[in-house]
Amino acid sequence: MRQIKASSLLETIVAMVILLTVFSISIVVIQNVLRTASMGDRTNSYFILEEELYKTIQSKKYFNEEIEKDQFKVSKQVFDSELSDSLLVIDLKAIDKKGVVLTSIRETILKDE
Amino acid sequence: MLKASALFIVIVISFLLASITSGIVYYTFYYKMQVANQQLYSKLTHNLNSGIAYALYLPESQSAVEKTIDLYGEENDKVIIRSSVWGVFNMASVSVRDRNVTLEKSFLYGYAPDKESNAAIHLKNSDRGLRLSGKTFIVGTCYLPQGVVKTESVDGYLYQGPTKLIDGEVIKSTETEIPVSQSIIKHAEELLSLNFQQSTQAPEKEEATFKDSLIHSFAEPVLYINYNDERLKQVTYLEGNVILYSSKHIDINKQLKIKDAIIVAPSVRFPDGYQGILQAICSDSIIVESNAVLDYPSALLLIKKNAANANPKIQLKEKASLKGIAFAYSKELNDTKVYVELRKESFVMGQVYSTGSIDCQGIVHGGLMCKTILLKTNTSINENYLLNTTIDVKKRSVYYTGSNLLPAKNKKRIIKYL
Repeated sequence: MRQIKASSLLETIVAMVILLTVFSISIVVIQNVLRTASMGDRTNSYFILEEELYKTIQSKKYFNEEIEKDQFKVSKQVFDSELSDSLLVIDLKAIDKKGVVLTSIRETILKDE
Repeated sequence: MLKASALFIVIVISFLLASITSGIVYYTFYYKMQVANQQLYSKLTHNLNSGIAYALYLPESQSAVEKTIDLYGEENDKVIIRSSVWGVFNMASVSVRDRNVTLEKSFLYGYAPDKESNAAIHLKNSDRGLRLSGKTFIVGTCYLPQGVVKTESVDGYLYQGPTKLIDGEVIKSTETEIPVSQSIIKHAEELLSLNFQQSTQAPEKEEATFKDSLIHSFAEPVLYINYNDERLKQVTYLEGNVILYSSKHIDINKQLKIKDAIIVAPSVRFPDGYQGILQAICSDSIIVESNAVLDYPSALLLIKKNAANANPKIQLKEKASLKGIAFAYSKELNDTKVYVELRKESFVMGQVYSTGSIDCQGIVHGGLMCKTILLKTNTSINENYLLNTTIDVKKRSVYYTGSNLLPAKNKKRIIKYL
């Protein structure tokens, strides 16, 4: 009878263990990467906040407001600085649809700027 | 026949999977790191801008002052502000730090001219009004003795300017002097009377800095260099936080281009065709030869120290150009010997001030402030005469920012980043 050369049981088991280990690691990594995808939103929201801050200073819109921007809501708070009445603080926050604050920036400016 | 080598195939597949996974891991790590860096820099930049706003809010300090502030009271946004005087301007350095990253900005600041210092001509009241001759054009508000302006021929020149003698408001001037910032005068006087050799220690790195270019950051202490230092002869470009001093007259080397530095000496002469951005603080004379160009923000500050000095002056010769401030000052209120001379075709964009007199035959895009205007011709000296000159305050750049030497109520403005 002609014999066929095949993997032994041990060889197959080792192979399955390696494959399972690598797969499980890959899944963890991919999950992490998928979670990191929200960092893209975070970065985008950052640029939106920068743009809003620039517009606020240029057009001197020194009042509180909420602006809908793409998939975010930009919350703008303008208040007197604790350091002096001559200074204003502009505090901008980007909030996603779940109400989570993705990013925030703030800057102090001279009041009559 | 197919070989049933399961382990070998699995190892190959695992290797491929592991490679892809580690690539993804590396990419994710790098991406996160970049995002974190970007956010850190962004936060520091906003804090730096906030610090600059705070520095502009602070009152001027006449000596070097360092202040650390916590912007939002959370101990996370600390800003260090150092303010001092740099010649006739005020200077501030703002620095922010987080982890290993430090951002720092130094800048000169001043004020836009306001009211009296924004006039085209401000003459102290006397019994003689202003007389115009030849092709003279004046644009802007003028404060004149008795509020009078007339035309009159001088040395055979008839008035050939516009029918409306002054394109602007004419206001009767008063006897009171224009208030001058005594703190800046005091600072300049201290520089003039400083014995640099005894009072300053040359920084250790001084030897290494004397190459063809010498750039000294405003983040570091002032570097004092004696203009007669032999090592300076090889330097062709000098920039930054440097004070060039001498106890004798300085004849500036035409090959030495100076940017942002201060020259302190009894007298200084800028040669024909010289170019630079600088401040000169002298007690006897400042001569700017023909075709020399001192760009904005430059300042020529003459402070008469020696009562015996018969002829303290700032002189801009033919086709010389100054963008900034020419300021001649004497503590003696009735000292008319202190004067500024702007020869034919010389050009000033900025402000010209003298506690004594100004002889203006050049073009001024800005204003003149003095006790009297003296017109010196070959045959005569005429008081409060202008001949063949243009004084146009509206042609001065709207971005022009002067020193707080002269009165200004406008808010502070950044002149330039250093």
